[in-house]
Amino acid sequence: MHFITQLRSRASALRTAILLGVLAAGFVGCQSVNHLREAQDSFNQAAELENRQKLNSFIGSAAGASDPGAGAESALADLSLARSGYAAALVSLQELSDSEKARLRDDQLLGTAVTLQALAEWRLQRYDAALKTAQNAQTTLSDQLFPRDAALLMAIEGLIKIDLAYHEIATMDTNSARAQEILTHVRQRLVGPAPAGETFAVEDIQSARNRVGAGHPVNVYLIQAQLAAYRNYQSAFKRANRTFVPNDDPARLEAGHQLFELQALFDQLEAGASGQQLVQTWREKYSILPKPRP
Amino acid sequence: MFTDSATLVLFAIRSVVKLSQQIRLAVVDATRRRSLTLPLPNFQTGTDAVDAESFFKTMPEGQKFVTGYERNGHRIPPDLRLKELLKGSAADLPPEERQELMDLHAKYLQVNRAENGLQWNDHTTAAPEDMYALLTIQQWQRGTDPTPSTLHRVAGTLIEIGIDYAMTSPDLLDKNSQRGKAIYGFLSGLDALDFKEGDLQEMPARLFVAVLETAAENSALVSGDLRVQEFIQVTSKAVSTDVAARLKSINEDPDLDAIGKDAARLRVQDWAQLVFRSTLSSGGQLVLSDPGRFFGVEDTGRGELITQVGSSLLDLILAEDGGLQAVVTRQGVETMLKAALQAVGDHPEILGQTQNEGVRKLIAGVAKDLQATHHLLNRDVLPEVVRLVLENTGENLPLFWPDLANDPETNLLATAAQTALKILSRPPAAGDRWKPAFRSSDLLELTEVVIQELVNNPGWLLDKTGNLDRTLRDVVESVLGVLRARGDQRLSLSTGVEILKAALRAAALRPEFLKNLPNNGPMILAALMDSVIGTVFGQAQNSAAAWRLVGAQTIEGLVSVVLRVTADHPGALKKAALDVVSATLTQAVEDLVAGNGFSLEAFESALQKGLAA
Repeated sequence: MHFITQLRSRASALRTAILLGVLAAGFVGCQSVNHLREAQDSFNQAAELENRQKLNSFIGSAAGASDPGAGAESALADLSLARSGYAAALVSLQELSDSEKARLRDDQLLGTAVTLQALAEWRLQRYDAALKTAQNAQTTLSDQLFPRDAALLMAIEGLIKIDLAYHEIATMDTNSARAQEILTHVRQRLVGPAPAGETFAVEDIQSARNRVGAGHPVNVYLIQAQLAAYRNYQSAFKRANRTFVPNDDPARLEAGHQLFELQALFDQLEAGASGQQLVQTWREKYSILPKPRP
Repeated sequence: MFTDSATLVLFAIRSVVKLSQQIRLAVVDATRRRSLTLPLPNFQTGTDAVDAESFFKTMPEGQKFVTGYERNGHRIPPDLRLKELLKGSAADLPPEERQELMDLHAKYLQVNRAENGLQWNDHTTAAPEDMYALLTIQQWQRGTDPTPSTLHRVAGTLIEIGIDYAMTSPDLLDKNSQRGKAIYGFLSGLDALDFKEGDLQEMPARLFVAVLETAAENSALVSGDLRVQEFIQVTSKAVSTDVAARLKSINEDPDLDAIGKDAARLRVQDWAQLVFRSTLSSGGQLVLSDPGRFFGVEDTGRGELITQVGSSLLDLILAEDGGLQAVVTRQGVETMLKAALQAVGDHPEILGQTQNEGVRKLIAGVAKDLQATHHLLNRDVLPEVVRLVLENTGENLPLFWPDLANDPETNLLATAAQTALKILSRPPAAGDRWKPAFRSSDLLELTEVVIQELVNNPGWLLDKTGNLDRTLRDVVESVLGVLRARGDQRLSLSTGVEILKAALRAAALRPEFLKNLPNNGPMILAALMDSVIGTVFGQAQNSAAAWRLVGAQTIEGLVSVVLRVTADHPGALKKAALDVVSATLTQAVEDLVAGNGFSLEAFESALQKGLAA
């Protein structure tokens, strides 16, 4: 009996010690990581809402939804929710104390956190802040940046240019001198060639693609961002000239190469019908003919 | 050593901190590699009449609707309305015609998709969720993530904690007991390994379990001897390295999809664990019995014999063609491993002269040969045949494995075993009266006799060049032929096996038995058998006499007496002597029918008198 009592006593002590240990270790070590994971959750939910809204319109029929009014209402609600999500992510990241940031750095997670911050700032249209965050991270956190995050930080400038061009195109009058000015600006900003000393969006994103290598899945996103840049240029061209972009326009040819590369990447990643459908939609809706680079 | 609860608590805290550190690191890894959903930048997703115009005027899949085209051998005419709408610039069309053009764009997108075999009635071929998922991107390209998996991190630490615990609390294990020493020895061996590194997946945990289970099952085998600890350490390291290389190769195999890779990884780990366990249980005994043989006196290459044998076996089991996976059990692996260890322990040249390929090639050769008789390659036969061959080869390595260096596949004992097995497993012919279906145990019993008789007296089966001649085949074929032709269902399997064994032993004893009777007559041994079996199982035989004679002991006794007595009489192995055997046996049967009973001793005495005369 004495032996059994001893054993029970020791087992109880062991259980208590384990519980205390787990609690202590969990409290001390995981706070900063938890903040980052919360930010990731918020950002992912917001981005999914936004993508859902964009892709629904993108993959829908060329004639548009059957009830455009209802679709627009729902899209606005989604966009509003998405902005809240990005804001929540940004708040979680901005609330990180210096010691938590130091801990994230020790864990090689600071690059991930800063990338998320730059992306959230971009989606909240805080373009200057996003650019600054991305540039700082690239110069001071190079040891903390892993492939996807490093590529995204490089692409941020291009992504911002696409959004800025999109807003600019919305202000275009059809077939006016002002429209031609905007078209020139949009071309320089998105598909090039850019004025001396500047870069254009497709070029910025191409640098990001080059950094990460052709087989990385982040190219699925980056190539479609390049195609979005071309699509915005195409929209500006239509408004300014009341016709479509000619076959031999260098930007159209380049978009064809990008679409060809997207197709190859989907094959490599075994993306199946989803990838095939995305490629076909880019091709048929916006008249982009996939073609390998010479 | 835990002397009180406080020490135990401190140990627990240390362990929990150690574990929680690894769990925390795993969470950090997971956060870093966590997928991120990336929002596309803003762009004009909707289309207008100019986009439709571009599609019909510049894209081949749009132009065909304007010009007409061929589909499945039929000419599809152009859409004249579309042609009309596209005469000028779409931007100049009135609003209703612009909408019409956009509607045609939408319509012909559907037509194109249908023609391409896509069902896109609801505007999507793939589930929308799948398309959204394409924008959820992981940190690393597949296969390039440098961080260990969560299981990997935690499994390694659990093992380390287990080792610490067992090593620092011998009171719980009773260090003074045999088992306590054994487990302590095992764990000391494992302590030297760093399981967290390398691509080993859950292998460390599997090895740990294998060690504990083997210790539990073989407490008498392990003793805390330093050699055993060294043996465990060497074996664990070798298996870990071997498995890591195999897993790496699977991960890099471009021909395997994700599911195939998972299955292949699992298969490697399952079999590696089995081989490891078998190596521990079989090899431990051998190492303890003769550590010098397996570890030698030099530090270099220690335990190589053991690890090479295990690795060879794993190679065979995991061969690309499915290997031996379907026909080898754990017991079979142990059987082969133990025999192979013993053989290479006695004769390290089996590995040395063959670039470590000797054992693998021998087993592969036997398996390949047995595959020809498919039902033989079952869970019982192969490992036992390998054991018999390997155990006996060591008796005279140069004779039985003549060209080890250049032709390790050719082992005379293996050839003899295969020859016997092939004949014994041959299906009966149409006219056969006795149709035995030998069990694995029967086949192995006979194979063992063949091998032993060859080992005891190699001369009777080998020709002048040292190769196996036709004698074995002739003996087995002719004696089995007599049993099949003259016996019937009253002859039990075990009696048949005993008769065959007796015949094989007699053949090895007296070369005269192997001679043929004049004028291309049968082999004398077969003729003697025919005389006995033919008389006992003769169709004209008196039923009462037959009832008495076909009893197992009587028929076996008769065969034994005939073979012994004829072997003892130098002049007996001739045609005339065969007549004496037949006459004596006939007389014994007549006496039995007359009610005088039957005595094996009386028969032997009569036979001796008859042959002496």
